[in-house]
Amino acid sequence: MRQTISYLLLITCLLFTFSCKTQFVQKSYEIENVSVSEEVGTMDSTIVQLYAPYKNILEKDMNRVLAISENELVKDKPESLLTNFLADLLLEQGAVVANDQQLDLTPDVSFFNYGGIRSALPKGEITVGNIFELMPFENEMVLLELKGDKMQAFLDYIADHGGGSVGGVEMIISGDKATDVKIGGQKIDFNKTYWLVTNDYVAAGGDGLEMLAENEQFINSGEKIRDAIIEYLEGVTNNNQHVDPKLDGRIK
Amino acid sequence: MDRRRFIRNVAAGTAGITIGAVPYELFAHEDFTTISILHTNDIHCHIEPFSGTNERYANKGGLARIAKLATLERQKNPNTLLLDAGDMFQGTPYFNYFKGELMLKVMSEAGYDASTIGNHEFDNGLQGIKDPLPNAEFPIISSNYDFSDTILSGSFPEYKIFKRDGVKIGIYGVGIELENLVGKKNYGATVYNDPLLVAQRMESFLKNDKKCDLVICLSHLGLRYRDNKVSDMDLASETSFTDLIIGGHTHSYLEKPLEEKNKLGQPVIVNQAWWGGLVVGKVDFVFEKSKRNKKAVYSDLL
Repeated sequence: MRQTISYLLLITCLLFTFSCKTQFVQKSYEIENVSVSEEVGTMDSTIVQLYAPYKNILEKDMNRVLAISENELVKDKPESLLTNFLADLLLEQGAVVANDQQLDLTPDVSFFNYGGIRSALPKGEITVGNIFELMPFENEMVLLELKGDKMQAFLDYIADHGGGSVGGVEMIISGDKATDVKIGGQKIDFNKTYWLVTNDYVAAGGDGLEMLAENEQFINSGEKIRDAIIEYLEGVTNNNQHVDPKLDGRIK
Repeated sequence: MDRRRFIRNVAAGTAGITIGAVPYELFAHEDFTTISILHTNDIHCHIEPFSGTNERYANKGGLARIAKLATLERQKNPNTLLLDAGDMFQGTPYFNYFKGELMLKVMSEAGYDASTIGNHEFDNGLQGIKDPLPNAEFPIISSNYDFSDTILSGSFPEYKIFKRDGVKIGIYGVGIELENLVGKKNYGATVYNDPLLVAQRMESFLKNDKKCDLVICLSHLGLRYRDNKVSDMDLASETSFTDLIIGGHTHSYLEKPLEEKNKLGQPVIVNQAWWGGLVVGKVDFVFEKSKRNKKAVYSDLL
């Protein structure tokens, strides 16, 4: 037994010594990018079994129909059915939240960052699942008080980016500036302050919106943006209406 | 299946030896060993294939299918590593409902060997990384984020060395600048260090100190940018010992992996596998064992 062990040890030592000397010379390589489609094969059954119970929980909630849309809503610049729809509902829900939380304010302007709008909404039934695809992030609704010049700087940013999802505003893109700006139908006043409702990501200066970090007041509602959208859509259905946003030339 | 394979000799010095142009299977004996690298990025919790009603990607992609693909590849070549370049989290309701838990469980079951940290990993804050982390049965490698002053201190190795059929494979990982990309409250006291400097330090350490035969970078920097933001292309041209840069973040679709020149003018492969598990990158490195070693081992074993 002891002999066997020493023999094994000897071999191990030898192997170890030699493996230390092992040299590998890279001779060639093969590269390819494989498309993952049905042709790759079936799904791994262990994985499918692993997520099945999670999927059941999800599906129950995800297939719930929230509202009916008259059109497919797709995002585009300078304005689009989807960007207008989202901005307008955020302005409305922002006012609801401000009222619920007894904040003495009404949002003047609303803003969704374009990159954060992750999918289109279908014509016909809009489900909870659709809203999760549209807005997968856990962002919360925030209210920012901005001086007039900061609001102008923010709208210049929108102009410089070719438009976007804003509500409560009319403006004309002139080069990289926003001109003829009207907020709530009134010409922008640099001596006034305005309330912007948006998400906590951009409010912290994300996406290069540093001017939003230079605010007079910052109120985090604690309300998830996605929940605000779901609540709004439930309201549309409760009022026996359909989703039917319009292009109105708010950004030209 | 539309699979186009591209075979290359590595160094000019081997041009006289014609094996590079011949599939390695023809040399299926002890002189050669092949390390297969399979890789993904930006899966964004696409555990299942995209839904059949999805206009662009119906029934494509997803981890369940990638797991199958990886199993088949491992049967062909046990010396296979399955790697990911970050943004595992966020993108389907599986994340919103179950946070990172299900994703990390599924990746573990699929047999991932390593991953790195993408910006979306921070979406539920540092606690949102810490909570599901015990479900990851694979290392999440991060070389340029310093979590020392956070609750994640000590959670992520700065490199990992794998040994397959005697070949040493060293892997390091670099992540993107978090400021202005991730909310400050979500990354807290995490410190971002210059990925280029860190990559140079790590590759030299893995190649020269640890004597790795293959050095791989898992990067969530992004493929390339118009401005001077640091990218995988910068990494490729500024490093000397990295053989493969597996990228992410920019969701880049590449018909085939890119073959670039590193700082020493030698080849470095830069690749990215789109997103959502729609593509799996595959790089096979063929190694020749040195003659001396072969003789030595056989004379003692036989």
